[in-house]
Amino acid sequence: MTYALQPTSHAQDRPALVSGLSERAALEDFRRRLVRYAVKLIWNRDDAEEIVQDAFQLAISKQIAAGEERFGPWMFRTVGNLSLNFRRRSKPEPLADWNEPATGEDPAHHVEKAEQLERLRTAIEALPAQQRIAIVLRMQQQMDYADIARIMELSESAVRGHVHQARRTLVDRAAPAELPNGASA
Amino acid sequence: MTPCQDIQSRMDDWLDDLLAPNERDQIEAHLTTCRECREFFDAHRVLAADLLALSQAADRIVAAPRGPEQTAVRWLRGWRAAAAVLLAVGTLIAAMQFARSSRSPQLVEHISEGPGAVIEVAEIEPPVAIPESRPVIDVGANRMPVRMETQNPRIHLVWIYDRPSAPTDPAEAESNDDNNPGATFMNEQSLEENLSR
Repeated sequence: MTYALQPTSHAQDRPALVSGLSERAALEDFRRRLVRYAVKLIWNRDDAEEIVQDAFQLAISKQIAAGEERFGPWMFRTVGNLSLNFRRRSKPEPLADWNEPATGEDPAHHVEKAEQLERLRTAIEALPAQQRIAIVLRMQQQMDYADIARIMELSESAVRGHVHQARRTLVDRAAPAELPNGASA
Repeated sequence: MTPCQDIQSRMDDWLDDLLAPNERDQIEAHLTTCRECREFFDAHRVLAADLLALSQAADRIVAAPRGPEQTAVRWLRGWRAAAAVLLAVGTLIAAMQFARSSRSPQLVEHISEGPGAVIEVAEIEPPVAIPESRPVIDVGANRMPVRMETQNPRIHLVWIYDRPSAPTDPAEAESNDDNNPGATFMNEQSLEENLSR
Protein backbone atom coordinates (compact mmCIF):
# COMPACT_ATOMS: atom_id res chain seq x y z
CA MET A 1 0.00 0.00 0.00
CA THR A 2 1.17 3.48 -0.73
CA TYR A 3 -0.19 6.80 0.37
CA ALA A 4 0.46 10.25 -0.85
CA LEU A 5 3.15 12.16 0.95
CA GLN A 6 3.17 15.90 0.95
CA PRO A 7 6.08 17.36 -0.97
CA THR A 8 8.86 18.71 1.17
CA SER A 9 8.23 22.37 1.61
CA HIS A 10 9.42 24.39 4.52
CA ALA A 11 7.12 27.16 3.38
CA GLN A 12 4.28 25.25 5.05
CA ASP A 13 6.02 25.88 8.35
CA ARG A 14 5.71 29.58 7.75
CA PRO A 15 1.98 29.98 7.27
CA ALA A 16 2.16 33.63 6.30
CA LEU A 17 4.30 32.65 3.33
CA VAL A 18 1.92 30.08 1.85
CA SER A 19 1.04 31.40 -1.56
CA GLY A 20 -2.55 31.89 -2.61
CA LEU A 21 -3.83 32.58 0.88
CA SER A 22 -4.03 35.76 2.82
CA GLU A 23 -1.86 35.90 5.91
CA ARG A 24 -4.85 35.44 8.17
CA ALA A 25 -6.27 32.54 6.13
CA ALA A 26 -2.85 30.88 6.03
CA LEU A 27 -2.54 31.20 9.81
CA GLU A 28 -6.00 29.69 10.27
CA ASP A 29 -5.05 26.84 7.92
CA PHE A 30 -1.92 26.25 9.97
CA ARG A 31 -3.90 26.36 13.21
CA ARG A 32 -6.26 23.69 11.89
CA ARG A 33 -3.30 21.47 11.02
CA LEU A 34 -2.10 21.83 14.58
CA VAL A 35 -5.55 21.01 15.95
CA ARG A 36 -5.74 17.88 13.78
CA TYR A 37 -2.31 16.88 15.08
CA ALA A 38 -3.33 17.45 18.71
CA VAL A 39 -6.57 15.50 18.21
CA LYS A 40 -4.51 12.53 16.99
CA LEU A 41 -2.61 12.65 20.27
CA ILE A 42 -5.39 13.29 22.77
CA TRP A 43 -8.60 12.52 20.86
CA ASN A 44 -10.72 15.36 22.07
CA ARG A 45 -11.37 18.41 19.94
CA ASP A 46 -12.10 20.88 22.73
CA ASP A 47 -8.91 19.97 24.57
CA ALA A 48 -6.95 20.04 21.30
CA GLU A 49 -8.22 23.53 20.49
CA GLU A 50 -7.25 24.64 23.99
CA ILE A 51 -3.76 23.19 23.65
CA VAL A 52 -3.18 24.89 20.30
CA GLN A 53 -4.41 28.16 21.76
CA ASP A 54 -1.96 27.74 24.63
CA ALA A 55 0.84 27.08 22.13
CA PHE A 56 0.05 30.29 20.24
CA GLN A 57 0.07 32.23 23.50
CA LEU A 58 3.43 30.68 24.39
CA ALA A 59 4.78 31.68 20.97
CA ILE A 60 3.65 35.24 21.56
CA SER A 61 5.19 35.32 25.03
CA LYS A 62 8.47 33.97 23.61
CA GLN A 63 8.30 36.38 20.68
CA ILE A 64 8.37 33.65 18.05
CA ALA A 65 6.67 35.22 15.04
CA ALA A 66 4.65 33.37 12.40
CA GLY A 67 6.96 34.60 9.65
CA GLU A 68 10.06 32.98 11.15
CA GLU A 69 11.42 29.72 9.81
CA ARG A 70 11.53 28.19 13.29
CA PHE A 71 7.85 28.99 13.90
CA GLY A 72 6.33 25.86 12.31
CA PRO A 73 8.61 23.26 13.93
CA TRP A 74 8.42 25.11 17.24
CA MET A 75 4.62 25.11 17.18
CA PHE A 76 4.40 21.41 16.30
CA ARG A 77 6.95 20.60 18.99
CA THR A 78 5.09 22.66 21.58
CA VAL A 79 1.67 21.24 20.68
CA GLY A 80 3.18 17.74 20.86
CA ASN A 81 4.73 18.36 24.26
CA LEU A 82 1.60 20.00 25.65
CA SER A 83 -0.48 17.10 24.37
CA LEU A 84 1.80 14.49 25.91
CA ASN A 85 1.80 16.34 29.24
CA PHE A 86 -1.91 16.90 29.06
CA ARG A 87 -3.92 15.54 31.94
CA ARG A 88 -7.09 14.36 30.36
CA ARG A 89 -10.13 16.40 31.29
CA SER A 90 -12.58 15.04 28.80
CA LYS A 91 -13.35 11.60 27.49
CA PRO A 92 -11.71 10.64 24.21
CA GLU A 93 -14.06 10.64 21.27
CA PRO A 94 -15.55 7.16 20.66
CA LEU A 95 -14.17 5.99 17.34
CA ALA A 96 -17.39 4.19 16.41
CA ASP A 97 -18.96 7.64 15.93
CA TRP A 98 -16.24 8.89 13.61
CA ASN A 99 -15.17 5.85 11.64
CA GLU A 100 -17.32 6.11 8.54
CA PRO A 101 -18.42 2.77 7.05
CA ALA A 102 -17.35 2.10 3.50
CA THR A 103 -20.07 1.91 0.86
CA GLY A 104 -21.94 -1.37 1.27
CA GLU A 105 -19.89 -2.37 4.30
CA ASP A 106 -21.38 -5.00 6.57
CA PRO A 107 -22.43 -3.34 9.88
CA ALA A 108 -20.81 -6.16 11.86
CA HIS A 109 -17.56 -5.62 10.01
CA HIS A 110 -17.81 -1.90 10.69
CA VAL A 111 -18.13 -2.54 14.43
CA GLU A 112 -15.21 -4.95 14.30
CA LYS A 113 -13.16 -2.35 12.45
CA ALA A 114 -13.98 0.28 15.08
CA GLU A 115 -12.78 -2.11 17.78
CA GLN A 116 -9.59 -2.73 15.84
CA LEU A 117 -8.96 1.01 15.56
CA GLU A 118 -9.67 1.37 19.27
CA ARG A 119 -6.97 -1.23 20.00
CA LEU A 120 -4.59 0.62 17.74
CA ARG A 121 -5.33 3.93 19.44
CA THR A 122 -4.65 2.36 22.83
CA ALA A 123 -1.42 0.84 21.54
CA ILE A 124 -0.25 4.22 20.19
CA GLU A 125 -0.94 5.85 23.56
CA ALA A 126 1.22 3.19 25.22
CA LEU A 127 4.23 3.94 23.00
CA PRO A 128 7.23 5.84 24.40
CA ALA A 129 6.81 9.58 23.82
CA GLN A 130 9.25 9.98 20.94
CA GLN A 131 7.94 6.94 19.08
CA ARG A 132 4.41 8.19 19.53
CA ILE A 133 5.22 11.63 18.17
CA ALA A 134 7.24 10.19 15.29
CA ILE A 135 4.61 7.68 14.17
CA VAL A 136 1.77 10.22 14.36
CA LEU A 137 3.71 12.84 12.40
CA ARG A 138 4.86 10.32 9.81
CA MET A 139 1.87 8.02 9.35
CA GLN A 140 -0.99 10.30 10.29
CA GLN A 141 0.17 13.84 9.54
CA GLN A 142 2.10 12.39 6.57
CA MET A 143 5.13 14.59 7.06
CA ASP A 144 8.46 13.69 5.53
CA TYR A 145 11.36 12.63 7.70
CA ALA A 146 13.25 15.91 7.27
CA ASP A 147 10.36 17.96 8.66
CA ILE A 148 9.80 15.52 11.52
CA ALA A 149 13.51 15.70 12.35
CA ARG A 150 13.29 19.50 12.59
CA ILE A 151 10.22 19.27 14.81
CA MET A 152 11.74 16.67 17.11
CA GLU A 153 15.21 18.22 16.98
CA LEU A 154 16.68 14.83 16.04
CA SER A 155 18.59 13.47 13.07
CA GLU A 156 16.57 11.93 10.26
CA SER A 157 18.05 8.51 10.99
CA ALA A 158 16.95 8.80 14.62
CA VAL A 159 13.43 9.64 13.49
CA ARG A 160 13.45 6.67 11.11
CA GLY A 161 14.52 4.49 14.02
CA HIS A 162 11.60 5.70 16.16
CA VAL A 163 9.11 5.14 13.34
CA HIS A 164 10.54 1.69 12.63
CA GLN A 165 10.33 0.65 16.28
CA ALA A 166 6.82 2.08 16.66
CA ARG A 167 5.63 0.12 13.61
CA ARG A 168 7.03 -3.10 15.02
CA THR A 169 5.39 -2.51 18.39
CA LEU A 170 2.03 -1.55 16.91
CA VAL A 171 1.92 -4.56 14.61
CA ASP A 172 2.39 -6.78 17.65
CA ARG A 173 0.09 -4.98 20.07
CA ALA A 174 -2.73 -3.87 17.83
CA ALA A 175 -3.14 -7.13 15.96
CA PRO A 176 -6.57 -8.73 16.37
CA ALA A 177 -6.72 -11.52 18.92
CA GLU A 178 -6.32 -15.02 17.49
CA LEU A 179 -9.13 -17.46 17.99
CA PRO A 180 -8.28 -20.81 19.65
CA ASN A 181 -8.56 -22.69 16.36
CA GLY A 182 -5.99 -20.41 14.83
CA ALA A 183 -8.43 -18.53 12.65
CA SER A 184 -8.11 -14.82 12.70
CA ALA A 185 -10.72 -13.03 14.85
CA MET B 1 21.84 -11.68 6.04
CA THR B 2 19.32 -14.09 4.59
CA PRO B 3 17.15 -13.07 1.63
CA CYS B 4 14.16 -12.77 3.97
CA GLN B 5 16.07 -10.55 6.40
CA ASP B 6 17.16 -8.37 3.50
CA ILE B 7 13.61 -8.06 2.21
CA GLN B 8 12.16 -7.32 5.65
CA SER B 9 14.86 -4.72 6.39
CA ARG B 10 13.49 -2.74 3.45
CA MET B 11 9.93 -2.82 4.73
CA ASP B 12 10.06 0.75 6.09
CA ASP B 13 11.25 2.18 2.77
CA TRP B 14 8.66 0.08 1.00
CA LEU B 15 5.89 1.45 3.23
CA ASP B 16 7.23 4.98 2.86
CA ASP B 17 7.31 4.61 -0.93
CA LEU B 18 10.99 5.43 -1.00
CA LEU B 19 12.18 2.45 -3.08
CA ALA B 20 13.22 2.54 -6.70
CA PRO B 21 10.84 0.69 -9.07
CA ASN B 22 13.24 -2.21 -9.58
CA GLU B 23 13.63 -2.67 -5.80
CA ARG B 24 9.87 -2.68 -5.42
CA ASP B 25 9.51 -5.29 -8.13
CA GLN B 26 12.15 -7.43 -6.41
CA ILE B 27 10.23 -7.33 -3.14
CA GLU B 28 6.89 -8.04 -4.80
CA ALA B 29 8.42 -11.04 -6.54
CA HIS B 30 9.79 -12.37 -3.25
CA LEU B 31 6.43 -11.94 -1.51
CA THR B 32 4.72 -14.20 -4.04
CA THR B 33 6.96 -17.08 -3.03
CA CYS B 34 7.64 -16.46 0.68
CA ARG B 35 4.70 -16.85 3.02
CA GLU B 36 6.55 -15.57 6.10
CA CYS B 37 7.61 -12.33 4.41
CA ARG B 38 4.16 -11.92 2.86
CA GLU B 39 2.52 -12.13 6.29
CA PHE B 40 5.11 -9.70 7.66
CA PHE B 41 4.42 -7.17 4.92
CA ASP B 42 0.65 -7.71 5.08
CA ALA B 43 0.65 -6.96 8.81
CA HIS B 44 2.43 -3.67 8.18
CA ARG B 45 0.18 -2.89 5.25
CA VAL B 46 -2.86 -3.36 7.48
CA LEU B 47 -1.22 -1.19 10.14
CA ALA B 48 -0.62 1.60 7.62
CA ALA B 49 -4.24 1.40 6.45
CA ASP B 50 -5.52 1.45 10.03
CA LEU B 51 -3.32 4.41 10.93
CA LEU B 52 -4.73 6.23 7.93
CA ALA B 53 -8.31 5.34 8.96
CA LEU B 54 -7.53 6.58 12.45
CA SER B 55 -6.16 9.78 10.98
CA GLN B 56 -9.29 10.26 8.87
CA ALA B 57 -11.48 9.76 11.93
CA ALA B 58 -9.49 12.48 13.72
CA ASP B 59 -9.89 14.78 10.73
CA ARG B 60 -13.66 14.21 10.80
CA ILE B 61 -13.72 15.14 14.49
CA VAL B 62 -12.01 18.43 13.68
CA ALA B 63 -14.13 19.11 10.59
CA ALA B 64 -17.49 18.40 12.27
CA PRO B 65 -19.69 21.48 12.58
CA ARG B 66 -20.11 22.72 16.10
CA GLY B 67 -23.46 23.50 17.65
CA PRO B 68 -24.01 26.60 19.78
CA GLU B 69 -23.90 24.51 22.96
CA GLN B 70 -20.49 23.08 22.11
CA THR B 71 -19.23 26.55 21.25
CA ALA B 72 -20.49 27.90 24.56
CA VAL B 73 -18.91 25.03 26.49
CA ARG B 74 -15.62 25.56 24.68
CA TRP B 75 -15.75 29.27 25.36
CA LEU B 76 -16.20 28.52 29.05
CA ARG B 77 -12.99 26.53 29.31
CA GLY B 78 -9.69 27.60 30.82
CA TRP B 79 -9.23 31.15 31.99
CA ARG B 80 -12.57 32.13 30.54
CA ALA B 81 -14.23 29.66 32.91
CA ALA B 82 -12.41 31.24 35.85
CA ALA B 83 -13.49 34.70 34.70
CA ALA B 84 -17.08 33.52 34.28
CA VAL B 85 -17.09 31.97 37.76
CA LEU B 86 -15.66 35.16 39.28
CA LEU B 87 -18.28 37.21 37.47
CA ALA B 88 -21.07 34.90 38.63
CA VAL B 89 -19.86 34.94 42.24
CA GLY B 90 -19.54 38.74 42.15
CA THR B 91 -23.05 39.07 40.79
CA LEU B 92 -24.38 36.72 43.46
CA ILE B 93 -22.69 38.65 46.26
CA ALA B 94 -24.00 41.94 44.88
CA ALA B 95 -27.51 40.49 44.66
CA MET B 96 -27.29 39.21 48.26
CA GLN B 97 -26.10 42.60 49.47
CA PHE B 98 -28.97 44.26 47.69
CA ALA B 99 -31.47 41.79 49.13
CA ARG B 100 -30.08 42.26 52.64
CA SER B 101 -30.21 46.04 52.45
CA SER B 102 -33.76 46.02 51.17
CA ARG B 103 -35.45 43.86 53.77
CA SER B 104 -36.35 44.19 57.38
CA PRO B 105 -34.91 42.03 60.14
CA GLN B 106 -36.21 38.55 59.77
CA LEU B 107 -35.92 35.08 61.11
CA VAL B 108 -33.29 33.01 59.39
CA GLU B 109 -33.80 29.68 61.02
CA HIS B 110 -34.81 27.82 64.14
CA ILE B 111 -32.41 25.41 65.69
CA SER B 112 -33.24 22.63 68.14
CA GLU B 113 -36.97 22.71 67.92
CA GLY B 114 -37.42 20.11 70.60
CA PRO B 115 -38.74 20.57 74.07
CA GLY B 116 -36.80 22.92 76.28
CA ALA B 117 -34.60 25.51 74.63
CA VAL B 118 -35.34 26.98 71.21
CA ILE B 119 -32.57 28.83 69.52
CA GLU B 120 -33.62 31.36 66.97
CA VAL B 121 -31.02 32.89 64.72
CA ALA B 122 -31.98 36.29 63.41
CA GLU B 123 -30.38 38.50 60.85
CA ILE B 124 -30.58 42.17 61.62
CA GLU B 125 -29.33 45.04 59.53
CA PRO B 126 -27.86 47.16 60.97
CA PRO B 127 -26.53 45.00 63.82
CA VAL B 128 -28.17 45.62 67.14
CA ALA B 129 -25.86 46.17 70.08
CA ILE B 130 -26.54 43.70 72.83
CA PRO B 131 -25.70 44.91 76.33
CA GLU B 132 -23.03 42.75 77.87
CA SER B 133 -23.60 43.51 81.52
CA ARG B 134 -27.38 43.26 81.69
CA PRO B 135 -28.99 41.08 79.04
CA VAL B 136 -32.34 42.34 77.86
CA ILE B 137 -34.81 39.61 78.54
CA ASP B 138 -37.93 39.83 76.47
CA VAL B 139 -40.28 38.55 79.12
CA GLY B 140 -43.38 38.55 76.93
CA ALA B 141 -41.77 36.36 74.33
CA ASN B 142 -39.80 34.46 76.97
CA ARG B 143 -36.53 34.92 75.11
CA MET B 144 -33.11 36.34 75.70
CA PRO B 145 -30.56 37.64 73.18
CA VAL B 146 -27.03 36.35 73.56
CA ARG B 147 -23.76 37.35 71.95
CA MET B 148 -22.39 34.64 69.73
CA GLU B 149 -19.22 34.48 67.71
CA THR B 150 -20.01 32.46 64.59
CA GLN B 151 -18.44 31.82 61.23
CA ASN B 152 -21.46 33.28 59.51
CA PRO B 153 -21.04 37.05 58.99
CA ARG B 154 -24.74 37.41 58.37
CA ILE B 155 -25.71 36.42 61.92
CA HIS B 156 -25.91 39.38 64.25
CA LEU B 157 -28.31 38.24 66.89
CA VAL B 158 -29.13 34.94 68.49
CA TRP B 159 -32.17 34.56 70.66
CA ILE B 160 -32.50 31.76 73.11
CA TYR B 161 -36.00 30.82 74.08
CA ASP B 162 -37.03 28.86 77.08
CA ARG B 163 -40.03 26.90 76.01
CA PRO B 164 -41.51 24.58 78.62
CA SER B 165 -41.88 21.05 77.47
CA ALA B 166 -44.91 18.86 78.05
CA PRO B 167 -43.45 15.46 78.69
CA THR B 168 -45.70 12.46 79.12
CA ASP B 169 -43.07 10.30 80.69
CA PRO B 170 -42.72 11.06 84.44
CA ALA B 171 -39.02 10.27 84.32
CA GLU B 172 -38.54 12.71 81.47
CA ALA B 173 -40.62 15.33 83.29
CA GLU B 174 -38.30 15.03 86.23
CA SER B 175 -35.25 15.60 84.11
CA ASN B 176 -36.77 18.70 82.45
CA ASP B 177 -36.92 20.77 85.56
CA ASP B 178 -38.62 24.13 84.83
CA ASN B 179 -36.55 25.69 87.56
CA ASN B 180 -33.41 24.87 85.73
CA PRO B 181 -34.02 25.69 82.04
CA GLY B 182 -30.35 26.15 81.40
CA ALA B 183 -29.84 22.45 81.98
CA THR B 184 -31.31 21.71 78.57
CA PHE B 185 -29.52 24.53 76.75
CA MET B 186 -26.77 23.56 74.48
CA ASN B 187 -23.31 24.47 75.49
CA GLU B 188 -21.56 27.08 73.38
CA GLN B 189 -19.61 24.55 71.34
CA SER B 190 -22.62 22.54 70.23
CA LEU B 191 -24.50 25.75 69.48
CA GLU B 192 -21.65 26.89 67.29
CA GLU B 193 -21.74 23.55 65.48
CA ASN B 194 -25.43 23.95 64.81
CA LEU B 195 -25.04 27.49 63.57
CA SER B 196 -22.29 26.58 61.20
CA ARG B 197 -24.34 23.86 59.50
